[in-house]
Amino acid sequence: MENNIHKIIVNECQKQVVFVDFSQTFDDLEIVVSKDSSLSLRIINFGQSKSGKITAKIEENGELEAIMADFSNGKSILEVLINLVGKSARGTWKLSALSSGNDDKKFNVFFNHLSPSTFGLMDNYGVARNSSRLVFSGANDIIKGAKNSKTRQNAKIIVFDQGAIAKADPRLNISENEVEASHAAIVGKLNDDHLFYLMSRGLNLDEAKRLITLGYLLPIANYYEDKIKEQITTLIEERV
Amino acid sequence: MDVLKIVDLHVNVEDKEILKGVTFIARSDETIALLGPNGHGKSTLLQAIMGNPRYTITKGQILLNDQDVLAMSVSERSKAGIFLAMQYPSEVAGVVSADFLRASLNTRRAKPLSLFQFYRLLDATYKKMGIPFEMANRSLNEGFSGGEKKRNEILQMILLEPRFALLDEIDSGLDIDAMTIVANAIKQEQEKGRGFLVVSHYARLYNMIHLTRTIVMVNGKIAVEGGPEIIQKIDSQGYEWIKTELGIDIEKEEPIMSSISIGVCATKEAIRDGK
Repeated sequence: MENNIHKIIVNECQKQVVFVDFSQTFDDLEIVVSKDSSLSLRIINFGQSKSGKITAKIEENGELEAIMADFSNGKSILEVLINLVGKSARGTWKLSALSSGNDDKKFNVFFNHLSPSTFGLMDNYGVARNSSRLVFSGANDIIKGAKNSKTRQNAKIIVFDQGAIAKADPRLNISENEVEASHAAIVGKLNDDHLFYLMSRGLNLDEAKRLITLGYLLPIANYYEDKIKEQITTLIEERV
Repeated sequence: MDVLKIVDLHVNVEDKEILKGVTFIARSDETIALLGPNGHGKSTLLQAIMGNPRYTITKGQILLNDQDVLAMSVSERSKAGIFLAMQYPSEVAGVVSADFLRASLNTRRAKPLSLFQFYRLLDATYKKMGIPFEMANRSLNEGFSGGEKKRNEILQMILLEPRFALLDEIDSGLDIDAMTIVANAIKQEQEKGRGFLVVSHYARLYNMIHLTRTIVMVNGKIAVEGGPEIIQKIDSQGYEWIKTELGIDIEKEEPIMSSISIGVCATKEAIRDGK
């Protein structure tokens, strides 16, 4: 079956903000950010979970800031491939994802640093509830010759209920010496000290858990316009 | 008058007995200084009263106005009027201070505060503590300096109006201006008839608030009880006199080996443990 492809091309020296509802009409997203241009991409997926692929090519001095709020339900694998092709190309990927019920959601995010002085930042935040499964995987690659590049990975998942399964294992593959690379992957239940702290101020366990989880997922809403922001807030409050 | 009774309290931390039978009565018109060498049970006593699950009560009683505190959950203890200002307040990312404070206030009220009432109260309390009001919209304690965290603890104490406030090294990390603000806030709360248990290593804070009694804890027990004059003695002489005058051997604190090593995994562990 042919995948339905949606293309976004930002021409040289242009600045664009594009809003994408991933649950609508297409399976794959192809992005080109040309030389000296920038793209702010705001993606949502609130309905049925959907597998697909997002591929981005960022040319010299171009910048991509991709934000995704995924509060969909179902089984899916999303693959994200950000190719930092040109010199000083910059890419940021921020994800806030919630899995609940029997959801099985996987996010594979790859950054390829193919030129010198490129910058890549991956921030994946998730909460796994009930008997769902949530996986953050992928890799940041810096090839030989991509000197002075910087790459950073953060993957954090809170396992909210005992039956939920979460995995965060993004990798770093570095083939050049003169680079900065860092990585943090954390999967765990809610911090006991944080819970005790909030409870010592009178909140019961459920209220404390809820407040911490909201605080974990909600900040992504700030990247969206008011209408979507409200939708995100309502969705999170309903499901946490 | 509210009364907090501690009766023959024994407390374990990870199977090691830290408190070995502590008994005293605190009344809400008292401010008690709690002193003693490190590792001899001061923080353990405060944490056990608040109900930190890391601390296991193996024997004894805690009663607030003859109600069994040990039968209460942590949040019930808070609502019953016990407040602990933590030595190391947690940084809770994403939880906005104002939201948290509003939830804490409303959970103890029959009728929730209106938004207007809440912000007026919050604004006045932030002013009193010399904390910029913008901080109310930031994540709870995140990125705060040591002193800001401590002031934020006292701010919460003022808002929650406890019967007994337990202050664990509230003066550490405070400069003299912040110390004055904190001491003045404590004095105002003393006048409202709240009881205080204050742990500190330094006479400075004790001299700035009105103390009624001093308790010195050694080896998990109360070694000496008396008036404020004991503090001056400890401040100038340390704890050696307890050994010579009272014949109590002061057990040395065993160094606790940290399970954390260097590198990425240490960061992981540290973050997991919330340190």
